[in-house]
Amino acid sequence: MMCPACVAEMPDEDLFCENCGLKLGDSASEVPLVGCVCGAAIGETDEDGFCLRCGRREHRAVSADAVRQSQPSDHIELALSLHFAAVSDRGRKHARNEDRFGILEAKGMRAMVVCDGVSTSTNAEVASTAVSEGVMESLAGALRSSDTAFPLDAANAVRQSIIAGAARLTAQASSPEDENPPSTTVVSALVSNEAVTVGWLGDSRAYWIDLPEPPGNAVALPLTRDHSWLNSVVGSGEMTPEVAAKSPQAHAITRWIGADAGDEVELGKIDIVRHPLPAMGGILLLCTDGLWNYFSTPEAMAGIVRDASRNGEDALSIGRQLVNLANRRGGHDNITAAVLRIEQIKLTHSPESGHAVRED
Amino acid sequence: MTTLNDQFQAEVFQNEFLPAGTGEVHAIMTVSAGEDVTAAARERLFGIICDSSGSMDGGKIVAAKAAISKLISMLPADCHFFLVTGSDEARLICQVARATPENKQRALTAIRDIHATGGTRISNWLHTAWQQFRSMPNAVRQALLLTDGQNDASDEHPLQEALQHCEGVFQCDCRGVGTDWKVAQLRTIAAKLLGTTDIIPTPAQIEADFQGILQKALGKSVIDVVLRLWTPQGAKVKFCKEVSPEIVDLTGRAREVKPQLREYPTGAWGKGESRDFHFCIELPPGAIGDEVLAGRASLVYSSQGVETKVAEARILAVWTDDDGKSTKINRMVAHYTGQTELAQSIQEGLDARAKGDEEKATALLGKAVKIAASSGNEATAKLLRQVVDVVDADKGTVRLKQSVSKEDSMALETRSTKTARIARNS
Repeated sequence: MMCPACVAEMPDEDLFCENCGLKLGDSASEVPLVGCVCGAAIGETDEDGFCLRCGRREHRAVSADAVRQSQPSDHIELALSLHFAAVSDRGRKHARNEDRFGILEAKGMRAMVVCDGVSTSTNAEVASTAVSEGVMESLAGALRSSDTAFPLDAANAVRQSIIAGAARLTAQASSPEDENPPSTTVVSALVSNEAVTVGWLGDSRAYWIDLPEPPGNAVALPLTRDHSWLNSVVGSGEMTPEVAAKSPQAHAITRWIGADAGDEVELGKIDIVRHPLPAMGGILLLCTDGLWNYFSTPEAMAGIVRDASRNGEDALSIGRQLVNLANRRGGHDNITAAVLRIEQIKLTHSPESGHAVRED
Repeated sequence: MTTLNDQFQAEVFQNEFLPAGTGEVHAIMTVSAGEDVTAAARERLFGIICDSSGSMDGGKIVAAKAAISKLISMLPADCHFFLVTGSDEARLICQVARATPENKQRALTAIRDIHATGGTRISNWLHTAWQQFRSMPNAVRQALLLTDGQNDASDEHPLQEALQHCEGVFQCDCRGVGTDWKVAQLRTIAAKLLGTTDIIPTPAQIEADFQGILQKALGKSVIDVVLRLWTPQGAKVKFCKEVSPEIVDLTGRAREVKPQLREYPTGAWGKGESRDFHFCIELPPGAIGDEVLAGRASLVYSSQGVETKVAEARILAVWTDDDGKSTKINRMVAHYTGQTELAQSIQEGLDARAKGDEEKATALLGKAVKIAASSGNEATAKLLRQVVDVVDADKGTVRLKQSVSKEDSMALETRSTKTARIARNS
């Protein structure tokens, strides 16, 4: 079978093209196929990537070869298990990938972080790299030092991890005259058997996606609330969401990590939220705006995740599908998705603790 | 450089860097047909169209008849030929026939009966030639038109119609013998029929010139080659010119195949033949850092309904804020821009001289002398020296010669479009 969009050869049983992500065998796909800013479809290019309509050279050919030849950070995938994985991609328009992520599993708990380097700052990937590494190191330490005698204070651990991430960035002194010092958003999560604890600055998001049994509507619950101009003016009552959304600065972020953010003030503004895990299980998704911008509602995104999950696809495959979809819809920004699937609680009792345990 | 089937090579010379806010892209494409360009057992049809109007009477028609006789006797036996003479009407002296000894002899006998009388209505000559050429559509189809005078004024419109008709059916080199013909008129015919124009000042030179045309025609092996130009949406082709060996403006000859795709006729190519083309494409201005394909030019010929692309080259545009990059003019582009200016200066300078505007003529011809000298176009420089006394070639200081023979002036005008090539590795 040949992918109608990018003409790559695929095994007949594949549901999605491995190369460009097109859903196969469904030409009337609802997804608009855009390969170029002029509106030309994916694949409407010559062999060197020049658009056949407007002549513009694609900054990136979405092919496996191109990925291999490009920067290592242009496309990053990491799977710790069938349930826990993350995918980050440069997208189709940006010259490099300034998103970073980290995932970690220790002592039956999981830690995750996603950072989106602010593209208007210089060397934004310096910030996203330093912060994601600092956050993960801090969370790893917290997980290692916790035991039954000293149970983890999840909210504190998450807050401390973001402070540690910011400190690592500060340690990498940027030149003081830099008007746009490297800066980044951050969303960090700690998942125990009981709850998800999320902390964030900026507009990278965490969603909890329920997977109801028997199957019903997919529900995606946003755990975070963007630190954005839109939320700020709507929250203060200055504008209605409809009016604010039309402003060019609607998506501008109001909090971030960077030398120009004023650490203490901003770090005092770290928002923390705790979400108890429902018995039926579900999926935790951390992502950057390069992903969520391409879905009109959280439910639209939840639908993709639910369908993939029901098809038995693993976390990496779900992450890839989300990223590929964002690329097919334009890929105007870097795209990152970290996916953790949490199984339904099995009603068996562990002899040691007497608690219900999850098997995943 | 692109080599598609080892027959043709195309190369583009340009500065692809553009400053912000602009979108005009210039590029020179050089195309060379390889030494291996051959077409197995290609048929050839060589048509001779000779003026037999009253003005040819005397030495001209005698010399023309002798030259045509010689030409026919030289034709290879596997070649076809025909002969048309023309005055107010056309006379088909020999219809299409293979160049066997018997057919040649028959033609030579018929030529003896040619007499010069009557007016000049070239449309009728072309129409008769058209009927002959139509009989061998797959052959190399080359005509030679010899005249000594001006076309009848009332034939202007019919001539345009005839040219429209003949375009693509055959190619035609035009020769004016003596000095009573109009350069512009013959150039119009030759340009439409993808041929050359030249002056044969005296009847005695006809024979040598005809042989040159025949040799060139016999060397052609790939016919009906088109230059296909793809441009992006929103782009405008400001001009497309052949600039070597001669300046021929092809802009108005474009045939739109489909949106964004145009074809320009280039006729037949012989082995080892080289031609250069100058493209000027206007793009919508891009953003700094944008890289756009401004054009894809390819040479294509069709044989028995099968299209073959023989060469292809790309024209790029990259917007930059680095003035050091965007302000450089590519040497090749500068050279041919100069050659075009040279031809224009000569034509306008001669025109000013004919109208008695000596000051303007001196300035323009001086400029021509300067360009010819600096670009190494020695052939044109030599012709210019027949018309002006050169005081300082580098500065373009000249004096108009007080007496210039009409044939020197016409030779300069006719050959002003012949360009020099740039020395590749200097």
